[in-house]
Amino acid sequence: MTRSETVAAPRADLPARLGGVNAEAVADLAACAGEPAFMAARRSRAWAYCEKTPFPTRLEELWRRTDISGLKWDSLLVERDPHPAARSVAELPAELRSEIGPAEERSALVVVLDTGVVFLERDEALIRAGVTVLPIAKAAREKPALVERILGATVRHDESRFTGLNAALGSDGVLVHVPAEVALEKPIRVLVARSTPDLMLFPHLVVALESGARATVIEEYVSSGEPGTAVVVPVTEITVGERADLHVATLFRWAGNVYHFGVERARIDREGRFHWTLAALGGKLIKADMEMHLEGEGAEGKFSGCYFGNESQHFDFHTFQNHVVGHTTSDLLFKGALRDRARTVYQGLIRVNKNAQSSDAYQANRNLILSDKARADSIPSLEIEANDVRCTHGATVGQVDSEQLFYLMARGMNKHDAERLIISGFFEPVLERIPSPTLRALVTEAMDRKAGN
Amino acid sequence: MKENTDTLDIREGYREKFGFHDDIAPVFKSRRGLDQDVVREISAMKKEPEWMLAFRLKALEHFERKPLPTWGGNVAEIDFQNIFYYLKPTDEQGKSWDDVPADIKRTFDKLGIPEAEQKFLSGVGAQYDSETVYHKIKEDLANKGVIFLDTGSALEQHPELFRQYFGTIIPPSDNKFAALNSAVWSGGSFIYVPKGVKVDLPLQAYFRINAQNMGQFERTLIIVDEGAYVHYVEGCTAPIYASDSLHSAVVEIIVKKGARCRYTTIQNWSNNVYNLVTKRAAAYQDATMEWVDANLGSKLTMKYPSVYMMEPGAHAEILSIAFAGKGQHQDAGGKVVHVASNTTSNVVSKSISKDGGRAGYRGLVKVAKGAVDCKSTVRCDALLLDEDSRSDTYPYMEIEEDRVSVGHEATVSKIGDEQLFYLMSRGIPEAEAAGMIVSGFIEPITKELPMEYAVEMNRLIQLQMEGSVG
Repeated sequence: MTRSETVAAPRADLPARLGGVNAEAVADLAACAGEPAFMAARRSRAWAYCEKTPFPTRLEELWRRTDISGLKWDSLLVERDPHPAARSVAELPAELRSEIGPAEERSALVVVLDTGVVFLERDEALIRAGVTVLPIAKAAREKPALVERILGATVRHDESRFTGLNAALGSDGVLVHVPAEVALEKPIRVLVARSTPDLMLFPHLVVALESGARATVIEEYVSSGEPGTAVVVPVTEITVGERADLHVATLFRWAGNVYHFGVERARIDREGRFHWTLAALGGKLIKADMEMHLEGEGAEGKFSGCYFGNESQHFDFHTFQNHVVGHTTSDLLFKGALRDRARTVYQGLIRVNKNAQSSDAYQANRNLILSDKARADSIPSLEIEANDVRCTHGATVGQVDSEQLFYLMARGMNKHDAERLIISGFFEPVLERIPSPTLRALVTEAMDRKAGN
Repeated sequence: MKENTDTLDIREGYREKFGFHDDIAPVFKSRRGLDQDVVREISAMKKEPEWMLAFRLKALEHFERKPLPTWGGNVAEIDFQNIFYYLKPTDEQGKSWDDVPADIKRTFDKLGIPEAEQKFLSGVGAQYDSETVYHKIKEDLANKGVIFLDTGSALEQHPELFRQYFGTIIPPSDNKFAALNSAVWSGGSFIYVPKGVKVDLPLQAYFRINAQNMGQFERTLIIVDEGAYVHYVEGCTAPIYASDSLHSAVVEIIVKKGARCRYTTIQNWSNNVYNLVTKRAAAYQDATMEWVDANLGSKLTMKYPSVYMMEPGAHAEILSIAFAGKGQHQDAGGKVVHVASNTTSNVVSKSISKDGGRAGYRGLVKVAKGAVDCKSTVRCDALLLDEDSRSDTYPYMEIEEDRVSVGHEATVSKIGDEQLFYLMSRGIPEAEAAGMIVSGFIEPITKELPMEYAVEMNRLIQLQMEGSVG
């Protein structure tokens, strides 16, 4: 039994373009959304920070390989009227419906289209268990103490101009909160989509699991290629409580015109387990920080990521495995393939802090280059300040293994098909972790399409 | 006690063995600080041609314009205006050992140079402060046409050859410290090995920093002509001083078709020296360039010997050891750049950190557009000897071609309890056992050193290791 609700929030009278935003406009935005005082204060602090903080340039180490100086920020739109809310999945645009799949695959579904939540559906059982899946503004009105505690607690507004803009101008985000000892069998789906030309989006997802809770969240970013420049600046904050167990699957399925500048960070408490699956396919430029901070003894973080770039796609991933305390484990595998003129950058860092003894960290980056015009940079780094540790990392860049190719061709397969098969085998271990058969099939199909042309 | 001297005491035995300091009155000492006048003065003292003065002044502009690096180690504390940029200890270059002043000889005696010369050496270029004071090449080498001079004399005696190659591998604009060296360089070695000549014994030069606050800016240029071979060995020890010294060398190497060059460094500056060195080689068709780079001393070392493989068949080897004790930061590593197809490279790095030291590997593997069928492997191992120390690994891979095979692997660990237990169960005390394990850890590199250097290296490691356990 599921329940759908109408949730569109009223919009402020923001100046339409980023270049015209000022402190009053930001204050109006908070007032119109009916946000509690702490949220309004956070917006104005964030905007004050933005006013004195420029966009990063290539002089900064993490931006050396991604040039964004050509983007005309000031002319980008930062508001639009809300889309009409859908009362059922059937009322959603067709290109989103195909992403969603059957209701049995999920326990909740939130669809964010451009600036607001247009659809929310939750299992009765999930509501009865006290699980919160709500737009952040609504959650802040219903449960102000909870929201004040977790909003902005993991990703601060003053980390970069991007996190600042997200906090100052974000229209409405999604909050997922699972109370202590509650276990959800089916995934919670958060679908972020865009359709308005030149509109800048600031999606915000907050996922918090209390101690002993168990859940799976799928965050998916999708668009079908509206005209104009599409810039998205998302922030995802994840906290995994003591003994909690969370699986997050992050899927970038943007159309070829999207610039994505995101920060996603997970903090894992004592004996918490966190598993992250990433598949990146779409977008013109993706620059994503993906971090796991192991903050309690016995915490464990696993990361399986894959990316496939073609045409002139530019992916720049930065991963961070931060062992804040000892007796923690992290394991990261990042696999990438490139063809055409695609360029990918993988910068990974394992840090084992002083006194984080008995930590075990692993990091691997494997790249398949399928074209002589593609370029792959890989920088897997270690900073180790404790001595009783086991830290290993490895990175490879190469082409499709010639022996594997020979084996398949000797069995009568042509080179093209053999290569395709090897590439799909390369990605399969990551893709099979996507916790929705519908999405797994969609992503696999998209990967195969990239491998095949 | 001042912090600086404090950090030196931990390297027990160092002061007695290497930290000596003779009082020598330099014949000429430039004033402290750096500006156009100092550069002109240096050039005039050395009676250089006009083009070299122009080169130096241009480099000074680059130095002044470039910002300090914000990555790597902390270089913000270097006071560039409180350094002597040039100092010439004697008037004339010694023609033979007898001409070298007695007090300078005494310093060499402590370093064991004459004995070493009697045994193995084919030539001694001993740099005392910033000018080479003594040079001797065995006659057979001279007869083969090998040129082994201090760099200043090479400019005088072989101006054509010198100008053809000088500054071509590392232009002054390369980085701030290469620019500084280009502006104020003095001393260093110049080697030319003619076609087909194989120099069997390693050529060596000892470098020393002597005067307090005396920057050392030696400039080395090595040209190995087609089919030739040379092994150059550079080792340095420096006396202890209370205020910080700066060593900023530039080494340029050209390895032509079918030639091979090996450049071995044992860097053991005292713990107050900033060692910021740019080393780069260009290897042509079927040539091999090998860097064996051991960093034990200094306060901060930032050094990444590099090989540009310019033509098919070129091969690069980099073996790097970094040992960081208390107060030390070794930001070592290497760069291999595959400019041409069918080129191969191999990098092995071993780093050891103890007593709060920080050692690491920072490296680059680059495969340029158009360079296909390239192969590169990088292997980094780090040992952390206690909980206060730190190890970093920053490997950069930039691959612009598809027909390549590039691999990087790294591990960080402590001394294995099982290894320690095994040795101790055979009656070896813990400290000694730990020393043996460390020696074994770096053995892939020490075995590549000439014998007397391997001995010195092991002795230095022992000095570093003393009292490290228990």
